[in-house]
Amino acid sequence: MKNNIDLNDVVSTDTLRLAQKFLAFEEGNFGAQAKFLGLDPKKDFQHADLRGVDFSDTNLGGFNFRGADLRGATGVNVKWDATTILDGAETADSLFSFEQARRKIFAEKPKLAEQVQRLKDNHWTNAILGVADLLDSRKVDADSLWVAKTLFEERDELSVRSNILFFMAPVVDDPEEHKGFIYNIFARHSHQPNIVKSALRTLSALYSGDMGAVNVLASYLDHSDIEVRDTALRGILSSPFFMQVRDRILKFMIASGDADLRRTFVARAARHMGPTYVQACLDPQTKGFADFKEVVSSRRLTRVAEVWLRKEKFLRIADQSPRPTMSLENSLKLKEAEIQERAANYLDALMHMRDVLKIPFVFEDD
Amino acid sequence: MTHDHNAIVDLVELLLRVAKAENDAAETEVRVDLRLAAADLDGDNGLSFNVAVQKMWISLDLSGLTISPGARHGEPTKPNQVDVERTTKTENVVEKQAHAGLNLRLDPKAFVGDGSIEGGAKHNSAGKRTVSETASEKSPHIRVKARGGNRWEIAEADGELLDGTYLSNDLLCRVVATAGANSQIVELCAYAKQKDIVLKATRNGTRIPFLTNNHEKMLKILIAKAISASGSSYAGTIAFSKSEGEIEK
Repeated sequence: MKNNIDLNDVVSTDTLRLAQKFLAFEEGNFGAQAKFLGLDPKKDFQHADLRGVDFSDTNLGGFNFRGADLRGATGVNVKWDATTILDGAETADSLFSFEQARRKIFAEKPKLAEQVQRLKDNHWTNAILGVADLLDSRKVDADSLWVAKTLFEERDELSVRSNILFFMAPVVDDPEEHKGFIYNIFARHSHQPNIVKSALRTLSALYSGDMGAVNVLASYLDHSDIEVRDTALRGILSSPFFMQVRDRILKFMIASGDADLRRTFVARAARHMGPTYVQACLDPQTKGFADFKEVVSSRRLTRVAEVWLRKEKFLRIADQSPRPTMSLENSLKLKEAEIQERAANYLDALMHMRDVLKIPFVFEDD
Repeated sequence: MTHDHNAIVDLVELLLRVAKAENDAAETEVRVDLRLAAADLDGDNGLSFNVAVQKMWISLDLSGLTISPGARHGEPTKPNQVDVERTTKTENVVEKQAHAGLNLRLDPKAFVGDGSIEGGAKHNSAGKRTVSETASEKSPHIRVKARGGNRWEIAEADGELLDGTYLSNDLLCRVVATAGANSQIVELCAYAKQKDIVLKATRNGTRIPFLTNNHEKMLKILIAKAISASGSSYAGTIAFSKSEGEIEK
């Protein structure tokens, strides 16, 4: 060990230049990054801070993560095996947590392995019935869940796997463990769109309030299967973190061929902006939210203004006591200037949404 | 006689002193100075990395010596007696049974009107008692905490970065010679795991955001490995400082 030297004397100029290049290195793949930096998988990742890392499309065989912090680490199409060292690593809420916990449980309870083997040897229809019985909410316990999850890994049939996910959703009681199972599916079965879709739906339904889960959903936005992409988009749109990931999903929303998804996107954005924006985004034809791909005409905005003004007026009348004597029809008459003023406000609101949120509304005069 | 080897003195300084205890000639006092601070690593074009440590360990390796019982600095001894707080909560639940045999359970707090229940329904009030116990214990945070294996863990209470003098000629422990030992040597090492290194990248004083979370984590590994200066023998820990002292018989 050299003595009493400055930090700048320890780190070589070459290392600093490599660091500088890496800051601009656009490749996000974990394996490619490790190679770029010349890191040794067998040694350099021990005791590393790898919290929330994305291991997508990486073969982690031979990586030594001894003592590393891998909490929240996820990924799509991740390969890892017995040569991946996880001794003393923190793996909660990560793609490794399921397999680690499973190995421990099965070592403690060998009878569970026998139960899995019996279901594995059965015809697939019997395997599904066996899982349904195992996961019966009246008698399900932690061991049954482990058997079902392991069977998911052992059986290749899509129908068996989909059914296991289906039966499992209402009976899981440990969210971290359940998420770990789902992350394991993404890591190992990303080439099977139907399985991925089922897992994405489960993740959206149960964990859309978890930023880690939202990041996983976002990693499927450029998937080759359109249904997988739309399922991921739908999950993000239902998340309370929607506004935080809005910029990331915008280009996928624009490219989406699903008008309902686009309308949901507009709805979420408008609700975030406030009541005036919600009103401005009304589609008078569908009575729902507008699709940003449809041209915003002055005729539509006038119609929207009439709808909302009339509704407001009606509510005012309904609140009045005693009831007014004039007929309802006369009472609800609107002045043209009032309508036009409101329509102009809505036009401003939509333009503001286009400028601030980059929602590509198309206007008549564009 | 002691020798201190501080690799990066602007980050970590560890100084060791060993001397015979004044009140017991058989014992030797091991006294230590430990100073920690963040340090800057400057690259080209205004790029700079601020390196700091969040948690550090010091480990003591003894040859021909053993630690005297009850003489360690920062022993996190748990009090034998703990206050247990017991709270009892009683809830009244009103049950309403409809004629059709359908049981409805109603929350009494929902009855804000006249409190009446529809005629024909029979109702009764049942008490439900919930007992909960909470063990309460307040303990001060120990910055330099004795751990097993002749090690001490240095950390701030809320995960803040280490900055300041944590030991100032403090008595780390007292040691006594083991029977028949030829030499008596104390070795002290200060090290950190790479996950406990905190790295901030700036350019001309402005924080640079990393492209992705992966970029941040990978860069941290690269810099930690470079700081450790252990090359191919790097195993994820960085030894900042090593001190050794020989006790003259």
